[in-house]
This record gives sequence, structure tokens and C-alpha cells, in this order.
Amino acid sequence: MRHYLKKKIYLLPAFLLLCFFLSFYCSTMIEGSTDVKRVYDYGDILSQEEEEQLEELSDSYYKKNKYNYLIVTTSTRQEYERELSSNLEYDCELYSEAFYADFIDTYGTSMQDCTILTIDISDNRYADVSGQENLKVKLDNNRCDLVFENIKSYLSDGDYGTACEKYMSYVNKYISFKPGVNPNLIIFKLWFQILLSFGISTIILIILVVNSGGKITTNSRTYLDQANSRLLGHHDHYIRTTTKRTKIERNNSSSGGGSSSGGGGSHGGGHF
Amino acid sequence: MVIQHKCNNCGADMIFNAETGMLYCESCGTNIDISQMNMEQQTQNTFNEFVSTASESTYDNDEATQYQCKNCGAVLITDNDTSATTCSFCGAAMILGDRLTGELAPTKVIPFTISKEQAQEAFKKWCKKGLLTPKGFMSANRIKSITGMYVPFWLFDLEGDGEYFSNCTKVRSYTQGDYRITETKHYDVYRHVNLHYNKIPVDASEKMDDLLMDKLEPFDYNNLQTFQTPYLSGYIAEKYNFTDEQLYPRVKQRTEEYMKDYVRDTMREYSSNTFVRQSVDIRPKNTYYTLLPVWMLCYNYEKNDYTFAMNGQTGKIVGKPPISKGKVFTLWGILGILLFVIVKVIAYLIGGVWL
Repeated sequence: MRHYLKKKIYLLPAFLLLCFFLSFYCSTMIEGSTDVKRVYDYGDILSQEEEEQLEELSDSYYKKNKYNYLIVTTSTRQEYERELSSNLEYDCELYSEAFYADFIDTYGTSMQDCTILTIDISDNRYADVSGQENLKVKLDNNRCDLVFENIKSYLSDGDYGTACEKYMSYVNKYISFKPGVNPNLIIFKLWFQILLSFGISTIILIILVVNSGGKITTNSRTYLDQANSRLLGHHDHYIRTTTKRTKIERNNSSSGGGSSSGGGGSHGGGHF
Repeated sequence: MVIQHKCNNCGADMIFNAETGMLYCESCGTNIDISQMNMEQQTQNTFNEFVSTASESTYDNDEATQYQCKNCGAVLITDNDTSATTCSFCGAAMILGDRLTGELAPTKVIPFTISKEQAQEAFKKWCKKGLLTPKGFMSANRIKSITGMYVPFWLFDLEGDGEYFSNCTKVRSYTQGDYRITETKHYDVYRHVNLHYNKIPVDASEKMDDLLMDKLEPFDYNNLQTFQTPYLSGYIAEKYNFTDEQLYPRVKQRTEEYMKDYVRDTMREYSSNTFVRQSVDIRPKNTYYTLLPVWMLCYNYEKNDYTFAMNGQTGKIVGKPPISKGKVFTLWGILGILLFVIVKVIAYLIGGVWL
């Protein structure tokens, strides 16, 4: 009897653990099943298969971090009601904002943390990357621009499927950085990290090898007779000042669509 | 002419003891304080006397000289630079007085303070510390020979008078609106210095590697003694090959560098400085022919001989040890990986993400 009890006690934690995993599994099942449409191909530039793949990919990202990775393509910029702008770049941002407003209307504010890739394939040929709500900080204007720069070549080549895929992976990568940090800093590049560490290692080793035979430990003060040595005369005449002005390159992209309206998100993009 | 210091008690040969700084009789244990010894025993002013009694110097040509040991009568042939040695037959300390008199009389000496045993121990310890030396080198006891040697040096007292004209700048950088502004202020800077240097040593022996000897410095001059022959008892000593005049260009160049360093130090407030003109006048004040103590160690490793020198006063060791390629590579790898981890952590601290 005692033995039997003992065995049971061992089983208890295992059972609890099983319950925990089961509940976790069930919850993800439920969340995954929420039917959210995240790819809107009005411009009809994605194949059915690509669309499905992107939906799936976007859904998997959502499960991971609860951020919606949205894609909208257009050839007319007329799908959503909004104020218009004669500035085509800004108009594209307004379109993106209108699309976002519509998305929130449909799915509610629980789905408000979004990043949107808007591809305008009209003659304008402009793409806009934007971050909304929580992603406004994590995906600031600068990072939006970086995402665009990374997918620009795919867009130009007309490889929209890959461009959309890359957009998601770059956004996913960039939002993991601390806010305000440029993800393109050289210190984040693996090749640079390796080069730097082994470069320093090489220098240290060279110094060690050179100094293995002992180094000179005297300097100019070793034999100096301090008591009798002196500075007999000196002057320091100021002659002139030269000034060099260099303009600081700020990343002034076509961003800031939302900054004026307050409620909008971060933006970055360009023509392709 | 051979000087051999005999014990007043038992008549045995005495040698200099580095630990006590006295002459020591290995037979009866008598210690004699060198500074208390009879000045007449010194070689400096008794050259003529030596010449009259110098029957032991029996053979002389340009290459080698023959001396006869007073103890055993053995004939010892030395090369022309040796001024102190030991008899190869009976091991008695022999000081070759005719090479320490007249022009060749040293004025100063720093006696050994590190004994042979201490030198050996210190060297073994130093070998073990070598990060890059092969394992066998670290553990094996392969000291082939260890020789206490008084190396001839000239010590120079110099006075330098220099005027230096320099273009200096102060750079300030700040941002103003959209601009980064770099402001460079130019100055015409002048310094006139009068500097004195005491006892800069220059190795006067042809056999010794100049760089090796430079690395042995500094010697502690607090223990600089007036030269007396008993200090050499039991050691090898060399006489100089180069006169102070011959070595003067070398010390002058060194002094010029020292003076420039001194002047540079007075211009620290500036971001940059370029000497445009200088007039330097260096005058030697005194020179002292001095014997400095060096332990020369010959070490055999994998059929190669490695020579090391140890400062016989401070214990500093110099000389090229063998380098193990494997160890260099391993250390390089470990250090590289360690640094890589550090770089990663820095990247993480900046970016907040492991990349």
C-alpha cells in the first residue's frame, strides 16, 4: 500500500505538467484559429499561393509576438475613404492610415499593434512601411526606412512575394532592438564582431611575442636630474582659428505621415 | 699580473659574496668588508708596481693572453677583453690586474646582489611564467651555464640646452543646429629648456648586444661603489672595447630623444604638436667607466642555445625565449573567443538583442 502511494506521489507533478502543456496547447489552438485576414491584395500582384503563404507566415508571427504583420497592395489608392493629398508620397501614407483605421474597425482595438506594408503599384510605384501603436516606437521612422531599403530591390524586380516575406522577417528582426538604436550599426554585424575580436586578439598576441624577451623599462625621466633641470623660457602665442562646418546627415525620409495628425503611426518608404 | 685575494686566516682564495656584499672565504668562512680593506691592495695607482712584478703574464699577442695561476701554476689563456675570470683547473678567482689599471681602471662598480643560486631560481621561475614558451622549456631544467659577469659600461652625465619651436593646435568639436563644427586653434609655441641627466649607461663591450643591455636597465645607483678589485673575485669581468668618446654619439642621440620627450610633456594641453625648428646643444659633463653586474644564462632547448641576461642587481631578465606556435595559436583562439563574447555582450547592451 505504501509503495503504491509513493508511486502516486511521483505521478502527481507529471500530471500537473501535462495539464499545463495541454492548456497551453489548447489556448494556442484557439488563438490560432481566429480568422484574421492580414493580406489585402487589391493591386492583384500576388498569386493565390503567395497570398496563402503570406497569411500563414503572418499568422505565425502573430502567435509569436501578438503583432499583426499586414500587407496591402493597391493600384488605385481608392479602396478606403480618406482625405486626399496631392503629394503622392504623403497620399500613400494617408492610404495606409485609412487602411489601418478600417482594420481596427473590423477586428477591434485588441488587434491594434500593427505593422503595415503598403505597395502602390500605380504609376507612383511607391511602398510605405509603417508601425502602429506599440510598434510606432519599436518600428520608428528610421527603421521603417531600413525595412524598405532592404526590400526595395525585390519590389523593383517585381518579385512581390519575396518582398513581402522579407518585409516580415526584417520587421521581426528590427523590433527586437532597443528603441532608437539603429539596427544597421556595424557592431551588430557578425563579420564585424568576429573581425574585431580576433583583430584585437592578434594585436595582443603580437605585443606578447614581441615583449617576451623583456621590454625597455626606462623612460625619459629615469636619468633626469629633476633638481637642476628647468624650463628657462616659454611662450604660447595664439595665431588663428580655423573652423570646419560639416552638415549632419539626418535621415529625412518621406516619413511623418502620422506625426501631424497625432493618431498616426511611424512611416518610412520610397519609390521602387 | 694576476691578483688573487687570499684569506688572512687560512690563505685560501676568497670570492665576493653577493648576498652579504663582502669577500668570503669558502674554507674558513671569514668575511671581509671590502670598504675596510687596505687601499694598497687596489689596482688603480699601483700600475708600475704591478708591471715590475708581473711575471705571470707570460705570453701576449693580439688574440689571446696567457696568465699563470698563482695557486696551481696552471697556464690560463684568456681573450683580450677579459679582466677577471676563474682558473679553469683549480677554480680560483683570478683578477687580471693589468687590465684594470691606467686607462682601463674602472671608477665605479655596482656589486652583484643576486647570488648564483638566486639567479638560477629566479630564472626557473621566469621560465615557468612564460605564457608562450613551449611546455618543455617551462619544466625542463636545462641551464647549460650561468656566468656572473661584470659588463663594462660608460655612465654619462650630460647637460642639454635646447630651444624648441612648435606648431600646436587645440581642437574643439560641437554641434550647432544641423552642423558639426570643428574649431582648430593654432598656436606658435616655444620652449627653452636646460636639462641635466645623470649617469645614462651605455654598454661598452663589443660582445654584448646593445639592445639586450638597454633592456637590462635601470640599475639602482644607490649601490654604486668606488671600484675595488675584490668585487670581481669569483666573477668574469670584461674591459671596455669602446671609449667614452666613441660611445658619445649613441648617448647623445638618446639624450636628444629624452629632451624632446620632456618638451612634449610641457605641451600636453594641446591636441597636436609639430616641431618646426629646434636647436639643441648637448655637453657631456662627466663619464664614469663602470662595471655593472649581469648574469649570463645559456639555456639549451631542443638543440638550440638561448642566451638570457639578468640584471645582477635587480633581477630583471631579458632575452628571446623560444615561442611555441601551438601555444600562440591556442591563446589567440581563446582570447579571440573571449573578446567575441565581450563584443556580443556590448552589442546586446547597445541593441538589447543577441545578434
